[in-house]
Amino acid sequence: MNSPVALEVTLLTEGTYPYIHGGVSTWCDQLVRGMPDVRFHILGITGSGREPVIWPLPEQIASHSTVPLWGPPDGGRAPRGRALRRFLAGYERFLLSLLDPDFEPYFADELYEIAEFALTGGSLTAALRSEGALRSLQGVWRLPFVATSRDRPSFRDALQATDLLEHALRALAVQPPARGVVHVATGGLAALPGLTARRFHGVPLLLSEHGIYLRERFLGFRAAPFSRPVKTLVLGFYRMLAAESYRCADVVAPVNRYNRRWEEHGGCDPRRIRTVYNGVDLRQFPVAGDEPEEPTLSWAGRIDPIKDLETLIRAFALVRLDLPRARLRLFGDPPAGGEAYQQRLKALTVELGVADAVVFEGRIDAVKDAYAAGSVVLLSSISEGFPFSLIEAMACGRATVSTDVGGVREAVGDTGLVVPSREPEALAAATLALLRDPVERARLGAAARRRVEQQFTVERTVSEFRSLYRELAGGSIVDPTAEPTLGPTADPTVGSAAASGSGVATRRATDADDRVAA
Amino acid sequence: MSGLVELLPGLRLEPVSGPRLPTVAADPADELAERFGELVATSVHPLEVVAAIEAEGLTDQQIQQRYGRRDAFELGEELFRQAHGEPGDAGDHGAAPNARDAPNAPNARKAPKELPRRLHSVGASAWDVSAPRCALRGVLFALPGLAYLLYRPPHGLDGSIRAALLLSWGWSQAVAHLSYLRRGQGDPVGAAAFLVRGGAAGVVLAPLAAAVMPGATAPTVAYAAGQALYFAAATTLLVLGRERRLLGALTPVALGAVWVVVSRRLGDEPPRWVGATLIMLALGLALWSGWQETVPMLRPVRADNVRLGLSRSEWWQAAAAGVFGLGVAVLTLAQIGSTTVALTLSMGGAEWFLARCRATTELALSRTGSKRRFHRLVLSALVRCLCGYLLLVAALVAATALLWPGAGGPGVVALAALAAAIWSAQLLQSLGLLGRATIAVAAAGAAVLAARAAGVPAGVAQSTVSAVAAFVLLLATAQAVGTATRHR
Repeated sequence: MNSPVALEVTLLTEGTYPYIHGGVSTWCDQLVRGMPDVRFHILGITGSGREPVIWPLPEQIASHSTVPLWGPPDGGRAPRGRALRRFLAGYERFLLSLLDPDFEPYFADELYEIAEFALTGGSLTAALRSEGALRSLQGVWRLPFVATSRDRPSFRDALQATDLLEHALRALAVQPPARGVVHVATGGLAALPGLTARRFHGVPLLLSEHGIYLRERFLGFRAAPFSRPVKTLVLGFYRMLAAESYRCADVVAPVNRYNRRWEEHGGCDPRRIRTVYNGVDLRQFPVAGDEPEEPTLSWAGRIDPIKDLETLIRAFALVRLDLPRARLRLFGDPPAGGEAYQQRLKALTVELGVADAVVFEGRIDAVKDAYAAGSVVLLSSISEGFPFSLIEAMACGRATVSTDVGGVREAVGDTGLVVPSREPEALAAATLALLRDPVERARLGAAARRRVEQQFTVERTVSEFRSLYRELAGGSIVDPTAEPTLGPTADPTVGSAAASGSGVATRRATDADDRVAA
Repeated sequence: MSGLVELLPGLRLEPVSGPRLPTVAADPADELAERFGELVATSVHPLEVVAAIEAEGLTDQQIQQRYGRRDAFELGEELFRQAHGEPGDAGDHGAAPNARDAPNAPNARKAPKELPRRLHSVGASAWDVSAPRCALRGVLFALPGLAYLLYRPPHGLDGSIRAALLLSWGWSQAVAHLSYLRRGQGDPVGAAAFLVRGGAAGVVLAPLAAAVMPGATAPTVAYAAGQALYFAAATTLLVLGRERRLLGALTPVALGAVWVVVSRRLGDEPPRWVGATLIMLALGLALWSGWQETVPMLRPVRADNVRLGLSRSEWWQAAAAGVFGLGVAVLTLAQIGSTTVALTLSMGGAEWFLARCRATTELALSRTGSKRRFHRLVLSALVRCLCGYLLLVAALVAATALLWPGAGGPGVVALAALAAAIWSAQLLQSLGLLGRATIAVAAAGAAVLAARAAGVPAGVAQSTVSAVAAFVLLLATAQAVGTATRHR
């Protein structure tokens, strides 16, 4: 069990731990606290770089650093003359790989060329902000055979797209870890230093995904104020980045099996995918006591459109037709800036004539009380990863009714009811059935608790990641056909990419052997 | 999952009544078009459609049953292909060339983009400024000049006062630059702190400069101190955009000037103490307004919370802005007279034409993707705005000559050259090239000083140097506006 040298893990996050509260941060905190024997290095991608650390960092965190995406430029100078021409030639192929399917195979090589430029003293920011880089983009995306040419991109579009790419690529300029294991917490931009560590130092790469980063980017860009060509280019980058991450990661660890669909579609070898479910700390979520006297429905979470509380309220109105004593208690706050949604919901309760029976309780400290407050706990989301709120409610021994999204079905198994999303009638019917049958409710609650105890404890999650770290660090997962110039643990210092040079530009075969006995 | 809810073995539910969608769509194509048509039309990749389908809450099972497709991926890809063809396919063109050559491949097959002639109507932009406000600022720049009518400086514009004036001019430019920087960073308290402290430092430095000059007397030093106080107050109000308050403060001077002009027509002269009192009143009002706009803002904030520290580049920028102001002051003061009022008044117009030029070039950025066309658009905007501004200067000079027959000062050509130099230097500065603008203006200022020292007449020195500076600065500006990355 004990290895002679402490295991080192670099945890890469984006916009979460240790700066923000939320599911992914909770998960990171669980991992770090659960492994006091592992030396963790935290590298967090943030917005401005001035975000305070709000999670207490335990002793096992050996170092912590930040890559601000929107901080001021580094002040370096753009290359000139031949160096600039060389950089731009590669950059143009990189751009083309984002825009045209025929050139997608160029993406990886050009990405690492750019990384090498940034890691060997070149200022990527200055180079990408140069007039030459702007002309390169204008030259590439107006090529007649590229789809963006139909949208006739203007200089304004080119400036905007270049800026977005420049900020997205800043994480490439971070010296990648040269030893241990790299664990990317959420995919996306946080994978960039992981990819360079894999490429230049042969450091094994573990990629976790909670939601699907790429899907969230596609959804996020629907409301973004960008023109079509800008959207095409930037989403092209995220798509290719996801593909490269799936291709290179030694293990991809989604939090549910549902997410595998995107990963396999993105080109990930199914044999390298290992689902590791989220876990609950059973001490924090003990079996709740007696049910409330009145039939009560409870819900806990962030008040956000993705939780589709409109369907929940409509379903409750239907429940109340049959059970006039029923009440609905909603625990949680809207995120900053999302208060309008809560107002809409309140208006809806008035419109449906249930305002007196629906209580917006706000945020509470002991979340277990939110689950205990309900005879039945509901989840009405239209999108979920592996929802903590559901497994927590299950841990408290409450019967649940949830919508069939993401990993919900995997979490609930046969210990609760699952209905299609966005269908108030179905949600109401299932809820009524449970409210009318106390025996079944108790049976499901007990079964749910057992299911969590057996499958979804935080200890189990931590131990699965610990063994993944061990396997990766021990090289038992690393593909022997890969040819990193430096062994995974040969060089204890953070190496310079100059030493690796283009000699490490050996691409890992996509059809590599099965590295994980799945 | 064809049932209403997924049932557990042994659990029975009563059937639910109410309208529900049939499990199998009557006409999948129609329903898909209605449900996802808009989404598909605006999407840029099949995966965007897939993501949106999933976000709608559609599971693969529902997709199989309702639409007869295997999963969201198959459905999304099919919908995208129907609307856009293959991803990345530009439609009507042939095979892709080799990657190495591709970026250099000719793209002349496209018809040049037809540009709407709407470039004259500049839309909402950061450079959208109001003309009346600019006119008001021009008036505010010129109004203090009237104080000379009310009360002549002790010994005219001698070396001592001139030195203090130059220092106050350059100093206020540096202070204004720093507070604009802080305002741009969303730090109004920091901006106010710089205005107060910078202004106070200027009030100490200017009389010192006046005192060390040969021929300094107590009245000249006191005059320099008053002048520095006005610079501090006016800079504060102008930077914070409180033009109306400054106008209010200057009202006594304006009324006094009218009185002087009328009494002179009547062959009379108001007593000197009236003029001095009015000036002191205006100065007091300006200081009071400036104080009100800044000091109460600083009070609730503890001093150590205000970010007064400056990075090295900020120091350099402030110094450059100061030297820039000094250079412009030397160039302008080389020869002044009543016609210089026209130039001062035109400064509001200069701001307006500068903003218009920037707004037009910004618009050109979003209207074209062709380098040549972009250059043509921005250069024509530059020329149009410069000509517009010079016409305004000429008109103001003519108006001054009409109102004030026999007025002394630089001629219209010298003033136009000076105006062109200052305007293009300011444009260069607004494009982020403060360094270049400062070097040019400082060189021009030095050239004027050298020419005067060599005995060249003031008018000749000013007009020649201004013309050369204007030419050089315009070339630099033309190069800068044509660089798209300058307009980030």
